[in-house]
Amino acid sequence: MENGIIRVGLIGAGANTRLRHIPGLREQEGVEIVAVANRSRASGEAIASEYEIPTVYDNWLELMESDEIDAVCVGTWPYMHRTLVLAALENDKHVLTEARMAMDAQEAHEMLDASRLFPHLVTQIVPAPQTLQVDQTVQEIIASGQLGQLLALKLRVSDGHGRADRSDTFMNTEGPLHWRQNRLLSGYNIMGMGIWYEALMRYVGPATKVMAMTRVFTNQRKDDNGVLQGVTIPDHVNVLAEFASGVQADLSWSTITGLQTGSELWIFGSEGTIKLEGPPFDKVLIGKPGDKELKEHPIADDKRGKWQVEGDFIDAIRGTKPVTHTPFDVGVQYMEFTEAVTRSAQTGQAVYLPL
Amino acid sequence: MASANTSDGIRLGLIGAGKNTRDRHIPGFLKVDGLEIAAVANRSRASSQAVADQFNISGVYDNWQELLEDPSIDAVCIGTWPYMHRTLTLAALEAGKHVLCEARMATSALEAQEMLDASRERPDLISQIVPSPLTFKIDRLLQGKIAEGYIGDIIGVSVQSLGNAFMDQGGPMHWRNDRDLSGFNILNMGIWYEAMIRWVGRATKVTAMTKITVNTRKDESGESVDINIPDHVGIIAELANGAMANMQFSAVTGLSSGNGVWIYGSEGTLHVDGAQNVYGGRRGNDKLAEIENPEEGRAYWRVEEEFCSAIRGQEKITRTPFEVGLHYMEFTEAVTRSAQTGQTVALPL
Repeated sequence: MENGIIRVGLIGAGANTRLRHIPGLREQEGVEIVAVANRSRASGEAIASEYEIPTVYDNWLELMESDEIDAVCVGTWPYMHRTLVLAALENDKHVLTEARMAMDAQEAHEMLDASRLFPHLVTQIVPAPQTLQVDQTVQEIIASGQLGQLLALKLRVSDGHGRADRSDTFMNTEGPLHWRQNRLLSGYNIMGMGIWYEALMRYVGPATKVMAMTRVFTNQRKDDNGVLQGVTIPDHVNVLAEFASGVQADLSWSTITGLQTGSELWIFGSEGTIKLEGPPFDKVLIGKPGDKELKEHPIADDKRGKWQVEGDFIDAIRGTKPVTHTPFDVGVQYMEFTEAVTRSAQTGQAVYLPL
Repeated sequence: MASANTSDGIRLGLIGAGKNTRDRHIPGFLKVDGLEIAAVANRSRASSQAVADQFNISGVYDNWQELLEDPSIDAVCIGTWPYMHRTLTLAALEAGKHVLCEARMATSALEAQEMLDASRERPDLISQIVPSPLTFKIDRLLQGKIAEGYIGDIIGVSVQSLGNAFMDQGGPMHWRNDRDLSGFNILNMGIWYEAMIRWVGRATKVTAMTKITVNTRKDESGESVDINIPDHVGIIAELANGAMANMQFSAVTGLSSGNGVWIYGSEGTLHVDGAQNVYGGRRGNDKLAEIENPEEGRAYWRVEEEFCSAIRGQEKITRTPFEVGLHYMEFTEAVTRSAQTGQTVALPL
């Protein structure tokens, strides 16, 4: 840090980096985006000129070696997160990494271990954003005991990940191989499973037992070169889970559920039920014994969370706030869940958490 | 007296005359020409006598053994709870009587297998289980739509039957909560599964988690009894046709969205709501639209008529033969086995 200015370097500047992180960082006082390293020098230069970033590096190694960078924002696909986070920490840089945290639980653990070796550096993962507007309200309702004993949870996600047209939810066998369908780039991550599990943990804590069945319905897709590749990342996932809090959950994600565009989450307690639906997940419906139907629970504006990961990252670097969305230890939990889903589906056996 | 033919009368005996027998089977049998409800054996002579008086049944037996020993009885309708189905079915077949057995078929897959085996030793006798009537209104519509290719290949199936009431800790004990009487049967899982396989066929792999939320209830004498039949069940399954299914059953999901079925295909989607309205949509549609379900095309309750026609050699049992019952009992047992062991269970067992 020089004169209180935090100098940020971008490694990987995909859609989320350009749409969210660059504008988000620019809103912060005393923050400069000083450098970018993308997959190629040419793409790095395109970003640099579009967003007026002074320095372009040929590759991430050069960016890491710069003494004039205090923090990096890792925006690559998951396959590089571990390598880049470890390198950033070794080079004395704070690091904000894009979600999903890593390819698998092992990588996530290595990242958590590394972060603990550098307690003066901030390590943060981009949080699951879809329920930020209602998270605090749901947490308060549960904490106040209004639902009684938590019993069951049902989440059904009609997942548009990897689609050009998210309104067409029928099976799409023709689309090209998306990075989310490419195991070499995404590891054990499947559709939006990880961000939903991260959101669920905010309400009902971590799972202790996972049983899953998955299916790859479209098992071949063409890559960027037009070559057919086998697909091993499922496009339909059913998960049963027990949570430490006593909740039994039924969770499903699918890209093949035609004309089922929305997603919904139900939390059933002995004394009350909550339902969220969306997108956008901006309302909390609640019902209690004696009610005829669920009713909307009012949410005060100051309780609606919003996208603020770039501000949180900078505040944490300045030491004014700890990282809550999302620290590495939470990332480890969701990566363990993510891996457990595949392990259970592979073996036909329950997988117990933590791994 | 097993050889009733078209011209013969059928003399029927009732073993167990609970609610479904009185509300459905007796009125159903009374409509069948040439059938006489000739005898009844209920849990006690007194309760048998009450049923006999109400429905004008001439023969009252002290117990089921005596009823089965009566050579003038051609066929029996077993209306007991599941724990007696195997014993009574085997005894009835041995006594040379046709059998209509109340659902669920049995308490376990093994019992169901024994019943099927016994029925095959008596090809001259009709063996039938009371079918799941839940979805008669929509079965043919769904079967027809799927057969005509409306949804293409079936790829995903979702069935939910969630209660609307909140958890009722310490409530009264129902026979469905009593494992001694109900065996592996849980909630209304069996009848929904029997319905589901009419549309999309059988499961080949079952993974399940179950939960007992209300773990004590009061029995008839007011005493607390431990419960070991789950009141919340999550199931995921692979079907023989290549589809994936998930099913949820619960008695603790207050203000839930109730019952619903979704069948997802490569080209279309079918949805059944809690009132059994059917909606469908195909690729290119922007939403699901209600599909007309003309009354005259629907299946309906005719189990007593089917039983008697089968005895007279006029039709084969389709709702429901013992083979199908064995399959759903295997599914039912697989759910508990998977939940107990944390392992996926392959079917058939």
